[in-house]
Amino acid sequence: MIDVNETLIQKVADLARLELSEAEIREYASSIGGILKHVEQLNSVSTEGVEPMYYGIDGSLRLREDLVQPMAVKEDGKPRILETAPESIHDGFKVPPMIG
Amino acid sequence: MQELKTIRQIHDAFDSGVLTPSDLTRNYFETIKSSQHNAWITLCERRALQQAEELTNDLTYKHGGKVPRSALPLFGIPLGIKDVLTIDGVRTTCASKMLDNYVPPYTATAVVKLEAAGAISLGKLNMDEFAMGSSNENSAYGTVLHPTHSDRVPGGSSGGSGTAVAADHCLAALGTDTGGSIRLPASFCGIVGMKPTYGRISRYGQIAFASSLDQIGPMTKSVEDAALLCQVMAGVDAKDSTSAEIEVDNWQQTVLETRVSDAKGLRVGVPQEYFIDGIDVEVRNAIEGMIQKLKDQGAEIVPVSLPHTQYAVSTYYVIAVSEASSNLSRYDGVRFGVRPPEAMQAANLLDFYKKVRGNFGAEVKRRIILGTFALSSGFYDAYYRKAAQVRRLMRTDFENAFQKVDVMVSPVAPTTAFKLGEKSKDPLTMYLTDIFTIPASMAGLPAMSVPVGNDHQGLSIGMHLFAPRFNETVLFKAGRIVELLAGGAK
Repeated sequence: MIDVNETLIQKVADLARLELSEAEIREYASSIGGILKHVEQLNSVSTEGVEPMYYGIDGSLRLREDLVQPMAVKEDGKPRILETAPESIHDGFKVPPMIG
Repeated sequence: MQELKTIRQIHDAFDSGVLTPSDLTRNYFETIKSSQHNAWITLCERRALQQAEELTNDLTYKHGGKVPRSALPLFGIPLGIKDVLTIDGVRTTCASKMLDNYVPPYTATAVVKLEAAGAISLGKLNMDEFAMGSSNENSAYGTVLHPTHSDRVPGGSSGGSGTAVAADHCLAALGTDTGGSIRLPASFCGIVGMKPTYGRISRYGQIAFASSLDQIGPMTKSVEDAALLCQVMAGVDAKDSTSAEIEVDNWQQTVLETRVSDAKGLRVGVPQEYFIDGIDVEVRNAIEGMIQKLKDQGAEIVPVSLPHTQYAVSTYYVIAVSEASSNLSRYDGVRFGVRPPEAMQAANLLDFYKKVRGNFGAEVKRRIILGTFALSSGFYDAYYRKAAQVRRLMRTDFENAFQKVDVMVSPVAPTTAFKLGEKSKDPLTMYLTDIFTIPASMAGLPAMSVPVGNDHQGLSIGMHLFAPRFNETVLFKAGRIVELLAGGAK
């Protein structure tokens, strides 16, 4: 059985790019430890040769024609997708300085 | 205003001239604004009143005072939309601080279809953050209260939808269901909630939680209205490659034609694994009482076995969180969403992401960590792949059982609506609330909650019905029979 301790939680939180307080790390070590303990019941199920079911549909996805579609624009011709940008400049997303 | 419970009642009132879409819409906004339930996050009053005014004018000048039922089956019907679905120009938060300022430039296909059929969107309904929860206590915009018992939860994650419909803030609402998020609040709030087959309704514009499980569905005051909303929304959509190219029947007609006597010969499966110790005795009695009524009407009651039911919660809380950890990686503060001031002080990109993503709520962070763990190198096979194999076995259980029966019934949940705070400190106890709704989600089946009674405190009990994939017709038929036997919507 996996030992869910604070070091493991911190490691996984780093992988997931989540900032956690010390109190959160303690709480998650406890609660996630409990959940994974419950999940260990799956080990008692024989699954040898069983094809995993990863998707909600059978078969493969429909493919679309690879066509260029017009982008939604505002009256002034600027792309509408920029409406959702935290910051935009000219016709682009303005990224924080540590990216740019 | 006297409560009008069904779309047909409202259309009759429009026809007779005693009510207009504008009157109805204004009345609902008055009810919403005087309510203490916290069911709504954002109202789109100006947009809705404009929609209503146009329809009111059309009623008089274009349609000669008669509702054009076949062309516009939802003419002038005010709806609530769960805040996980986008509407162009209307703030869509997913009940998360992460999207507090998000105004999408596009509308979900389901909402486009409803509005094209004449529906009016009153606003965006409260929910658990990113649809993760069973009690609606995980919203960044505060807990939603139960419609009639203010010390109780409405169920989740579509808790705002459940309360809004039950408390008559709107005629019907959209919910979304990943492991029970339509059916549980429908059961707790005493309304009809229906999750269609996975792939029936386009998920375009539904903010993703677990993409192999998520489905949009109606929450209504009658089985007939659930059928009507479902048939309006269903169908293939070029914008969602998982939407199914399968014919959509006239389910409203199915419901209208169904009589109690149609129970005769209906093969109703009762999965023995769903009648376990720990079910509240009043819930058990209500469900078994309804099974007896079905039998009295000539239904064939068939005990069936779904042997992997006991693994449902474990399987779900590996698969759903794994998909969530992947889906929620898009919240990086760069292209949309909130970019908090402290993130702008970050020393590097990694630190920037961490500061942005620190704004997720506690339950969302828990699930991202759990999912990231289950997908991480060294644990993937033992957790994610293993759970996906058990999921296949659960689906096979259903396929075997549906060889013998047309439809299955069970309780929706082991209890009626529980108290606020009762389970919020213990995630595993909360997760076990969904034990009866998760299996149908894992197998992608259509399923429904129909109210069949109340406990001694007046809290609603829902019967859970589920049917083979893409056989919504038998589900609506059986749901209507149960509704009639319970003395529900006429």
